Amino acid sequence: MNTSSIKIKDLSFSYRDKVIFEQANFTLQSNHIYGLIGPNGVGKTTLISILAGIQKKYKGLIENIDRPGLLLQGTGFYENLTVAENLNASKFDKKCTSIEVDQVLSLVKMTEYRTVKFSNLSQGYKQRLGIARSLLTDGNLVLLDEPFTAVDVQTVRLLKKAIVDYVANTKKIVVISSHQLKTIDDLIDQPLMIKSQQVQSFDLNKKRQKSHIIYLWLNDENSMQEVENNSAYVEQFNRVDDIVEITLSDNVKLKDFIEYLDQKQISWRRLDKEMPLEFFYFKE
Amino acid sequence: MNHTDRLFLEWKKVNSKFYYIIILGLPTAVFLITCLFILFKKEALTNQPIELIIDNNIGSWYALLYPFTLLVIAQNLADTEHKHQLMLYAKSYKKHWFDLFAYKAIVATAILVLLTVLNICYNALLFKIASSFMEVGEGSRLLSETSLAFSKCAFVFLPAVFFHLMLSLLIEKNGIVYILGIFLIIVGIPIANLTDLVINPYSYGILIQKPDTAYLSLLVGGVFIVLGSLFLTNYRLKHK
Repeated sequence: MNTSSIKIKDLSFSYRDKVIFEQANFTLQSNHIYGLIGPNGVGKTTLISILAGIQKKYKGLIENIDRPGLLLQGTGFYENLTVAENLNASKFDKKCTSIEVDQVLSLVKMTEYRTVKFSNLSQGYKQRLGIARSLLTDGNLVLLDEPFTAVDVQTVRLLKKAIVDYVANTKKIVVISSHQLKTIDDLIDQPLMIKSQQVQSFDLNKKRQKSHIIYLWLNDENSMQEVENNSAYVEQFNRVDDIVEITLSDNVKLKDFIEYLDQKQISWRRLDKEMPLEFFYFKE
Repeated sequence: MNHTDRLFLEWKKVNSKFYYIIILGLPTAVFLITCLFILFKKEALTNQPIELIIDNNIGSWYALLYPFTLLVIAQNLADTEHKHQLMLYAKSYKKHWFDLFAYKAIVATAILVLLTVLNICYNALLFKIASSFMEVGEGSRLLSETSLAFSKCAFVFLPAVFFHLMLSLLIEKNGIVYILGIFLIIVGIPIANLTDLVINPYSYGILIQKPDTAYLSLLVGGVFIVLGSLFLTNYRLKHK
């Protein structure tokens, strides 16, 4: 089993006239779960496609990737084959055994669905099977593009546990792309952000500050100015688009601040204590 | 996983209704239409040589029905991969595409063989029906010759199976592939009737029916098309 790290050197890729990656360099360490984050259209799926070997028109050097496990968005299976047959269809090329097919089915709790035809599965089980297929690989890398889209909370929990168990047992690298950091931040060891045509890793905890900082989505410019100018409640004010990062003054409680918003009839639509990905992304 | 299992999976990928329609439905429909024709034209056909019916039946299969059928078979086999972007998955782990191509070609050939077996049976039945009022001549010789002629089909259309599989796998829009295939079938008929060119695999059925068939050039042309399709598909899919 190949468990060595993966190095990407000077990766450049353009689509039509748009530069997606420009001399990007990064390394993926074994036994790690990476979260690939960034807004829609920034190049997450493109990077997944490049690493998977689907997109070949790139420049640069990608070392040590062979037959990665893969889950793509909006993709399916052979409708007429059963769960086990669908996995068997790729087993030979991936150099996997029947035992490994049983193992991945067990990881996603689908052992009893072996003989069920794919077309008879519910959406949640189809997604489980998608993860199972991606984990069925003799390569050192598993790539999951938005794996928790359109699945219920219990399934998400189950799939996250399956991924964690898989990495613990195999020491492989898993890269999960998501446009919602919240969905994956309890799962990943290291976030990777695509920005300015580069792939950057960062320590999420350092970027997030917990106390006295809130994030508020305001609806209009007047509200922005009102909040910004209120020195009694607001110690520090940072703005990215319609989201503001507010450091509340020491003696101000969140309850008081919300009351103030109501009194002044300030129009807002969402409040968060954790830094939202959009703010984080554009602030960097 | 052995080859039998993989062939079985390849067979199962296609909806079973498709097999019923192609293998059972098509020959049955053609047989029933011919029977209806005989029924309505019985008076005119009485005491006429039976070859009139039998040759016409074989001719339609060789010139049009087999090429059209293989078009549908190859396209359906390829569509199972195009649907839901399954080719993308395969691209991530496949080192080459020879095996996938070969399994699909074997399944397509198996369908053609089963179709041919049913055609031979229906042809015998047609012979029996028509022989009651038509001039039979050397009945057993004619029957064995026509059975042999049908058997040649599965073999002579092998290059076309490979060629159309190549088109179906490389071109994702199946409408374009159908139009291209139908165009080549239609264009191939006059070319095959007027010349001995072996460049169009869809018209090999006509070429092999000709009295002075150049078997060697058909064989060479066929091998060239089979190997060319195989290697070109592998190359294009690897570098696409």
